Amino acid sequence: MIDDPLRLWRRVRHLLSRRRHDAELAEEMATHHALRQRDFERDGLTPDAARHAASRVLGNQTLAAEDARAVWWATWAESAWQDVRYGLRVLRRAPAFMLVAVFGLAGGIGVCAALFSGFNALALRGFDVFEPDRLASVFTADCVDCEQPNSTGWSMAEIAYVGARARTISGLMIDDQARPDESGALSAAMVSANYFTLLGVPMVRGRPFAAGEDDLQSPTAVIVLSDRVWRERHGARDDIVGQSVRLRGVPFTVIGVAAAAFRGTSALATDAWIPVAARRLVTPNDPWVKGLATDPQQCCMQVVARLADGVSRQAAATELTALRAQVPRTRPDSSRRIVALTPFTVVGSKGPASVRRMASTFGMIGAGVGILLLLACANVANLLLARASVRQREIRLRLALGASRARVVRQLLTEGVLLAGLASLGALVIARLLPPLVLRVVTTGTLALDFSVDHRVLLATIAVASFSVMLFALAPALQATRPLIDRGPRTALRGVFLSAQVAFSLVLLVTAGLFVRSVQAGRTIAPGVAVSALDEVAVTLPATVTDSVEVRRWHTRLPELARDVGIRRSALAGDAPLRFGATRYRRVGDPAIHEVPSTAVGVGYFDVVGQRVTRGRDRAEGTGGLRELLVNDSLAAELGGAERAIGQTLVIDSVSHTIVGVVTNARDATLRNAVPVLYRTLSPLSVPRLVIRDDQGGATRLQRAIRAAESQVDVAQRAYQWYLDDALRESQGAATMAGLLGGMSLLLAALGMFGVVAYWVQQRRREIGIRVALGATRRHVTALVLGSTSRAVVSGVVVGTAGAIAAGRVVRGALFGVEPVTAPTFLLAIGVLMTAAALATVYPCWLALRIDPAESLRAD
Amino acid sequence: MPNRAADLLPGTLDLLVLEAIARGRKHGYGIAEHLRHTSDDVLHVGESSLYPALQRLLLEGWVKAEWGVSENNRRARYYTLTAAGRRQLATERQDFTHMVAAIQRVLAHD
Repeated sequence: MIDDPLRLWRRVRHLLSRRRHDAELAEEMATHHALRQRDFERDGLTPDAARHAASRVLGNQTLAAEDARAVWWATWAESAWQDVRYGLRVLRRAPAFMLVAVFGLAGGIGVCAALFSGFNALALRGFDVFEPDRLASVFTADCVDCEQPNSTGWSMAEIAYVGARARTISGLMIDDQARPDESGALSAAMVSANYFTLLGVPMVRGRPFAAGEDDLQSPTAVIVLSDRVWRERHGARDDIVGQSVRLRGVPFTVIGVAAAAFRGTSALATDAWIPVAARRLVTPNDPWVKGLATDPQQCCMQVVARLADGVSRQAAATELTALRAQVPRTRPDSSRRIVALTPFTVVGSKGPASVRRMASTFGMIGAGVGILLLLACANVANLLLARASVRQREIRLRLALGASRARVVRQLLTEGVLLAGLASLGALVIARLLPPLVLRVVTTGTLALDFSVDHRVLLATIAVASFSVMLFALAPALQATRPLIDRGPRTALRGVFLSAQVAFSLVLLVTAGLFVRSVQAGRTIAPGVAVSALDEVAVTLPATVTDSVEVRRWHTRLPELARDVGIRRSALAGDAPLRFGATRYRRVGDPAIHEVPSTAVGVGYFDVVGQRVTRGRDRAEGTGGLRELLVNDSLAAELGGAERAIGQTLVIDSVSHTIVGVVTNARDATLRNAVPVLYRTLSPLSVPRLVIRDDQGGATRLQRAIRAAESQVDVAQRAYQWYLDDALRESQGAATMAGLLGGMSLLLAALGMFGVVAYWVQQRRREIGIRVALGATRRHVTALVLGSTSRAVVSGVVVGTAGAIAAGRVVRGALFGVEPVTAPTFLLAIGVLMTAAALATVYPCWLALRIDPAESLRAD
Repeated sequence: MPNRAADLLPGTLDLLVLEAIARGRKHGYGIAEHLRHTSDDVLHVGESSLYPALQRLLLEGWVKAEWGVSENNRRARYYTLTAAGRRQLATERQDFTHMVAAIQRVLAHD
């Protein structure tokens, strides 16, 4: 019920001065009592009789006072507050217990919250625009909520016809995302002119696109930059509007800079936006782009609608379906196709099928994460059970003093709620930090996703936390308040549970160890080239260049510019470092066709990168070298050894080539065993890159020189190391994930062990007391305590080792230069596990050693 | 058998309390005694119903309380009507008269 503000104010005031109010009420009622007594005396009763009579007439004063107080705040609220305060006191008295339980729960709840947060960012949360809930991605589909919606975007004709007539939407826009360019050049999304106005994204500089600027018949070279690009590439210069930037060599005029909070409408941050029509300037020869202007019914554009105020997606879809069917067309269209609207989120904008797929993927991960939560809850329940036997006296006392069982259970549950509440704070931190961490490890590029905690993540965390309270706190609370505490859950079952956890942690720890070692190995494996000293500079010629003379010119121009800026060692190459193409060849007199990784390199390449020509010679300069090949040691071995390889003729594309030399192996992007590589001569018709060996920052100087002298091209530079790191990225991600999960399950296993041992000690106080009385030394007691879990731990390690060997087989393919079964990794993991087990037993062991036989025997 | 507050029609106690203090401030005991006297010893209102009722009226803002000194020189809390209380009393009086008249008509109908 919503209280009227005045009354609420009175209530709050009452709560704030509750003590005074209670005292006043008591005094008031005492006066009442005294006056009644006085009147009885006047009527002739003795003072004693009058007092009794007054009490009888007036009834139960305490109850009356209680009822009067309950008017202000229901009594239950008051006692709930009491429970919370009591619970806080109890938890404060056992900080170690509290910390362990909170950490365990925070981990369990945290991974669930983090998973949801990831799902939220990808599938639920819109982009940082005005009223994102009113935006929807528009598709044509065979069906909605079905296996194969076969969704497609819209043609220009459909967009124009429907956009002009629909009443349920306030606008349609085109949002075609560009693939981020790996070379570091600017990548621009292709959007309709109303993009920024429909999204409601303000500009920090300049203006958004104007209506006429996306006319397909007369494209305009205008561009809006993202705030990030404006800051990083243009130093946030104030006069950016009107400046010219190049896109594939075509000059575009900057007309605006979008607000900083807006990072685009895809998972990765967008650099810049251009009108759809301007694509005709960037890639004029692309047939699809040509079709845009000539064929309005050409498929397809990514379309987004802003729903009119108060209109549901369902209602809009119905109208759009009807309108789309009326679009005049010259080509047949399946009349049963309907319009499907999906939420305008990272997932939703990829179509209805993607929404379904995402939900099932997250459901699967959710099951795994749920197991972690269950483990965490089971372990904390164990811990609470152990605590309950310590607090047995306190609980018995409260029950004996007249508290109902329900009341004590409520008290214990409140403590559970407090633990879960504290854990939720930790869980929110995990939910905020974990998803971007994981994504950053597995993807390149700047993420545009928003992982801040919103109301959905908050609600989900609260829901998971409440659920976990039911899991971990209810059973121990019921158990602890049973009329007669019995043995509790079977000890044998706990043993199995514990050893399963130990095994699980061991598997994860070993796997994490393997990946970590693999990353280390990947870094130290000799790549066969002088990685740290090498840089690569690549140019992208303007899209308009079709003429081979210009391409040829760069074969001499690049080395020339390099020499000008003082770079002494450089060579041309055809492919990015570590990334090979493939060539099919045939040996003379043998019809079999072989395919081999290959790359094209210029003269002097091997010398620059540090590969040695061990047999034969490097190829000749000039056109003579065009039909000469070099092979690496591995390929030479396949061709019958280095001696026999030289001089062999290989037929490539019906042209005979001769092997003139053998070079040392260099690794490819997989960094695995040395692959056979064929080195061809760089064709003068392909745009070259330049490999530079210079430790004086030559690549940067060269980049600057190219920008100055040849402003029509885009130029990018990267260190060789970047390509090496990129190759290791996946392994690194796997190592991080396995490490996180392994660490977490280790923590949980230690927690479980702690609970079990502590419980065990409590249960056997009497037995230990008798043993000590009969002469057991500290060492005996310690051995006894350690013995309680040793069987579970040892069997867990045995099972876990077997599991880890199996897991190693599975992940072998993803490892670089590491055998899946290595003694050091296993021993280290087992050592870590044993240490954790030992640490978890220290406190219960200490408790056992403190047992005073006289006291423990007297206690029962 | 004297009547008990619990037997009153629901809401009637509030009306009676408001009525009791309408003519001047009274403390709790005064209100109970006033009701007993004016009802010819029929209405006995105990602490267990009087004080929750008074707290309810305070919460609604119909009465206000201030400390004074009672006949036997004890500190006592005196209640007076607020403007809102006076309005409430008028409405409740009217409602009650209507209700009683209606009940009587039902009882008179053979």
